[in-house]
Amino acid sequence: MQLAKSEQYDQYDQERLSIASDNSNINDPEEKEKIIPSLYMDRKWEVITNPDVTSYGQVSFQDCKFIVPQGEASVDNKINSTYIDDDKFNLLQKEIPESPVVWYPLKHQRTTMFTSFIKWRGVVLKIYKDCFLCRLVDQDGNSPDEEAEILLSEISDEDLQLIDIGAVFYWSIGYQTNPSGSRTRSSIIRFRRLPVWRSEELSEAQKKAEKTLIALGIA
Amino acid sequence: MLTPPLNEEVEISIFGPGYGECILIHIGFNDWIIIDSCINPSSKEPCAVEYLSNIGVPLDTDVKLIIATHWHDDHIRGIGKIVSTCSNATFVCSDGLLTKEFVTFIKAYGARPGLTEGVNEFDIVLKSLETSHRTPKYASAEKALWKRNGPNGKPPCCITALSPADFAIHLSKIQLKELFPQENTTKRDVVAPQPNNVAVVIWIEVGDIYLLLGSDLENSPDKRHGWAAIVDSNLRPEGIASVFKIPHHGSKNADLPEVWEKMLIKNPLAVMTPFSKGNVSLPTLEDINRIKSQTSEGYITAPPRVKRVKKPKIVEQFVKGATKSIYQANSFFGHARFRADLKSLPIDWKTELFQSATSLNSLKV
Repeated sequence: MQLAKSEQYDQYDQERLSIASDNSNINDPEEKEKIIPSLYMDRKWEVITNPDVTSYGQVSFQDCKFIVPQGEASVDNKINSTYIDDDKFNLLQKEIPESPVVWYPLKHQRTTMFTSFIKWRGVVLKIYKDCFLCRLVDQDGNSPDEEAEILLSEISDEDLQLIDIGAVFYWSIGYQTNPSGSRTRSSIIRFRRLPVWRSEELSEAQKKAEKTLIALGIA
Repeated sequence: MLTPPLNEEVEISIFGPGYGECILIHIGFNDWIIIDSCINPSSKEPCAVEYLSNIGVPLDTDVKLIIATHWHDDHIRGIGKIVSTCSNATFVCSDGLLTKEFVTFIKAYGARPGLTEGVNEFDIVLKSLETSHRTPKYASAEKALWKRNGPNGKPPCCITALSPADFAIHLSKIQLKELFPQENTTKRDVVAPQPNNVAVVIWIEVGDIYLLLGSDLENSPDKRHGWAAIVDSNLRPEGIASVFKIPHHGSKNADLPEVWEKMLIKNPLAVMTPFSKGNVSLPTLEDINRIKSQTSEGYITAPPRVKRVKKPKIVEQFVKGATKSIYQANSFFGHARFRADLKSLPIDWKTELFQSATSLNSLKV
């Protein structure tokens, strides 16, 4: 049964969003906001590289706000490179549906699934020459907190520059199931790209603090 | 079997380290003091709230004082819930802590739930105080925090802070200023600064019983603060304590022989919680032997270093390949309870140990 265009988009968005969320351990809305636009990146690729695939065309996709500005693309490379397998690229190349139907491969065909045994949230406490000390908190609360010295060689070049006291990262260990069905053991350490403090936030905090101090009678 | 203390009994209960420690004191006649907070790893509830509820203590009326000796994460987990539940208790924190800079810092980080638990706890505390129109009390050296004059046959009780010294408060204010986030700097978790200059040491006098609760105060080469400042002070309350909460998890840098000589009876009841951070584990074997040389009545709420809980093989393989070392941060959780009759002299402490709590003499290190 064919789904209406908008339903297809919605379904696709939901699936893609859940895939990214499942795999990336991103819990806070601040970072999620950044990731959601990236979900459309591969759709953008479909349109640009296969402009004749659908009758909707690139303009329609832009109207639907599926095209993200180029500037944002680099932020989300990590997602595509880490979690979205290149096999999907091949599938789309080989099985281009006829116009005007937009073809979306079944979820199990196009995704890389990650089944984690453990997901830690880590905070950097100290940095040494070849490693950093961190506190690891099991995100499922199944095991007690741990403190580990993680080797810097385990961190990607892109993430090395993010290591600082207080920097937050996620460490997932589990199985990665590729679209072809093959499974590989996987350990992913990914540092959060946290935004900077904005002057408005600090002013807001200052106002709240003044209000609190007055209310507490210690202003 | 958990039963409440009798009216004329003093109780000291020490919990930890669910990550941190918590001390509960019954000063007789249903008056309770809570010092710091930790979470019971099984129930995920603040130990103080859980224990007092279990023994039938009404939290809103019987808890008189809640003291946060310092704002390190391992001493304030769950304190927000304690402050909101014990709605009539006075909240005490170190002088110099609630500066405009620190409260702004709390408000900035508090608006980002999930980033830093310790800071969020303090934000909950401030909100609870604000909604219940309570003004916090500041603790500083030689300052009385709470007093019961002893009407109706109740024994008099006085709770006094022995630290922080004025100089430590000054140092702390400088330290806290540095924590304040600057515009355009990356948001990160807060890692509490070291050293901890403003830990609140508490002296409790109830009837003829004296207690010295050492918090995490360490020695300083500068005698204007740290343990030397307390020992040398001629303003501190008189008396020698029969119970000592050993400071800073028994570490050598928090041990001053003069404290044992001048402020404690011989062979006092001494109790502590363990601590571990990375490859640092307290107390060390040397610490335990040093404390045992001072008293035969030493207790700890859990063994200082425990083996990691093993995870699935695949996890262990990756962990082994990616780390130089890994340790379990939280040791087993335990509860050490001491009770004494206010009227009996000499004071006879009845010791009860729950879960992983043990005496130093029977500890296998």
